[in-house]
Amino acid sequence: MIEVERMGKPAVPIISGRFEGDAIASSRAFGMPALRFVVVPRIYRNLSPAESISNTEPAFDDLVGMLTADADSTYDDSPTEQAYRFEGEDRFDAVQRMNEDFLRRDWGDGFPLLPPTRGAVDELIDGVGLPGDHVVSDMPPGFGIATVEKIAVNAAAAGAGPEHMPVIVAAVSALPQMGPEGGKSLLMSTSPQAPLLVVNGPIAEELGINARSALGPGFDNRVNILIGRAFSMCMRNIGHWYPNKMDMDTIGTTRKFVLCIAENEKMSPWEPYHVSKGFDAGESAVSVFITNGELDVQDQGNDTAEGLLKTVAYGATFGTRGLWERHSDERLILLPPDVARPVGAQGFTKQGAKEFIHMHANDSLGKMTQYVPLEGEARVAAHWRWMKDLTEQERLDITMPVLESADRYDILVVGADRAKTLVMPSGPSAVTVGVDQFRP
Amino acid sequence: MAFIYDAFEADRLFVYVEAQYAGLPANRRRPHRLTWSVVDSRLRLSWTCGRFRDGKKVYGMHLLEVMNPVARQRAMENVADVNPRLSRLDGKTIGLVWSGTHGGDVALNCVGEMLQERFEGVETKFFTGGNYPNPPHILKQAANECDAVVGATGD
Repeated sequence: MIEVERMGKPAVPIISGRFEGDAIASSRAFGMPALRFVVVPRIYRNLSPAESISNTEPAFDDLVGMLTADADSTYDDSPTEQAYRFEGEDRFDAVQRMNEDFLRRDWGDGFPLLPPTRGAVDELIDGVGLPGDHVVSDMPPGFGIATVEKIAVNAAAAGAGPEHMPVIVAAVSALPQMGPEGGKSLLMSTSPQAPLLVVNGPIAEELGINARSALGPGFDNRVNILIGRAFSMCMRNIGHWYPNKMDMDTIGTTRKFVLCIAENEKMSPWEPYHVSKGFDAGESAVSVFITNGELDVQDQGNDTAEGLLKTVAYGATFGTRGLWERHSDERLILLPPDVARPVGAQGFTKQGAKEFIHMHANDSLGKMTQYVPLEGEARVAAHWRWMKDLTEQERLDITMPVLESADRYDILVVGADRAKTLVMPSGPSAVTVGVDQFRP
Repeated sequence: MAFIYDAFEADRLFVYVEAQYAGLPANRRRPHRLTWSVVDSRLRLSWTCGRFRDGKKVYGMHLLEVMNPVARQRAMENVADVNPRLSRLDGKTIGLVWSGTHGGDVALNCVGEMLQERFEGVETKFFTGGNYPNPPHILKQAANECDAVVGATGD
C-alpha cells in the first residue's frame, strides 16, 4: 500500500488484529510511518466466507474515515540517544537495572545482557579492520543501518569478544545479499524461519567453533553460542526483528536463539562448503542459511552409500513444497561423518550425493499439497492449476520430487560419531561471505 | 547506608551527587553529609541525604553508562507523508487490491459492496498479482485507474 501512496493515491490496508504492531513497524521500515490502516479482529486465511464478511463489516466506518478524513500524520521516531545511564547500589545492581530496562524495551533475547559500555564497545570495534562509523549493511527485515559500532554494541551486550567480530560483521554483511531482499518476507512470516550461521576455514578452529555436537548448550559450544547470540542481537536491534512487530511467528522456534556452527572439514570426504562457493580452503568464510525446522534422520545400520543416502532422502521429504509462482524451498542437510565418509569412500562426490538424494526424495503430490486448497487461493501458480480437475485419490497417486532440482539441496558435514543426519527445510539460497576482509 | 567504592568511583559519585543537588530549587535542597574512611586500601563511603526531585530515596549509587543498541532504519532518513484523503466517496473509483491470500478477496468484495450501497456512483475495480507482494505493474495500474485503494493481505 505504501507503493500506491508513493504513486499519489490514498491507500488503506486492512490489517488483522495481531498484525497492528507489524503494520506500524513495517510502515517505518518502508519510509511511511504515517500510513493509515484499519484493524479487523481475526486473520482471514482460515475463515469461512461468512466469517470473513462478519470480520470485515464492523470495520467499514473506520475504513471510510481512513479514506476521507485527514489525520494528524505525526509519529514517534526511533530512539536517538547515544547512551543510557543506570544507577544502582553497586555495579551488579546497575547492570540488573539496565537489564530490566533493555528487556522491557525488547532489546534483548530474554537472558541477562552484559553492559555495552563505551570501553567494551571500543574494544570490539578494534577487533574489526574498519572504523566504527563504517556502514556494513542495511540489515533486514527492518533495514536498520548496521555500522561497525552498532554491531559492536550488540555484540558487547551478547558477551562476544573482539576475536569474534570478523565473523559477526561478515554475517551481518551477508544477510542483505540473500534474495529476495535478504529473506525479508520470510523473516517477517508467521512461520518460524530463523538464520543459522556456518563457518568454514581456519578461523573456525582459531576461535574454537564446535563442528561436532554443534547445535546445543554447554561448554563445547560456548563460542557457537556467543557468535550466534551476537548475530541475533544485531538481527533484533539493527534489523528491527522484534517479536510481534517485524517477526510474526504463530508459535516460534528455539532456532531463533541463533547458533553459529563450523563444518567438520577434517572428517569430511569432500571439499569444504565455502570452497564449493569459490573460496580457497585457506580462506575463512561464514554462510548464512535461513532454516524452517529440523528433523533427526536416524540410520539404523546401513553400510552402503545407497542405503545411507536413501535414508537421508526419506528424511528430506520432511517440509513443504510451495505451489506458488515464486518460492524458495530448499533443504539444508547436516550430514554427520558416519554418513558422509562411507558415502564419499564409495565414490560419491558431493554433487553426486545431492543428485541421488534428489532422485529418491519423492512424495505423493496429494500429500505434499494438501495444505493448499486450490480454490480461493490466488497464489497457486498457473502451472499447478491442472490439479483442480483431479480427484483426491488421483492427486495422492502421483509421486514426484519434493524439490525442483538437486541444486536445491545443500550438504554440510557436521557432527560427532553416529549416523544421525539433521535435515532442515531451508531457503532462500544461503549467502557465503569472506571473513578475512574484516580482520584487523 | 554505607558502601565500598574504589577511588575512581567515589570521585564520580561525589560529582554526581553535587550535580543532582545543584539542579534543585534552593528551597528544596537538603543538607547532606558525606564521610569516608579507608578499608583494605579502598574507600568506605557513608552519607545521609534527603530526597531528589523524582521523590525516590537515593542511597549509594553506581553509575553505569551504556550505548544504545538500536540502529536507525534507512527508510526513516527519507520519510514520505501520506496523500490528502478524498473529500467524498460519491462518484469515486476505489481499487480493491488482493495479495492472493485465502479470504482476503472475500473481505475486499464485502468492502466493495458496502461502498456501493452507502455512496452514490462508486465504482470498484479488483486487482491481484496472485502473490505477496503484489508486482509493481499491478500496483501502478491500481494507482492510475483509481482515486483510492483498499488492500487486504489476509495475514
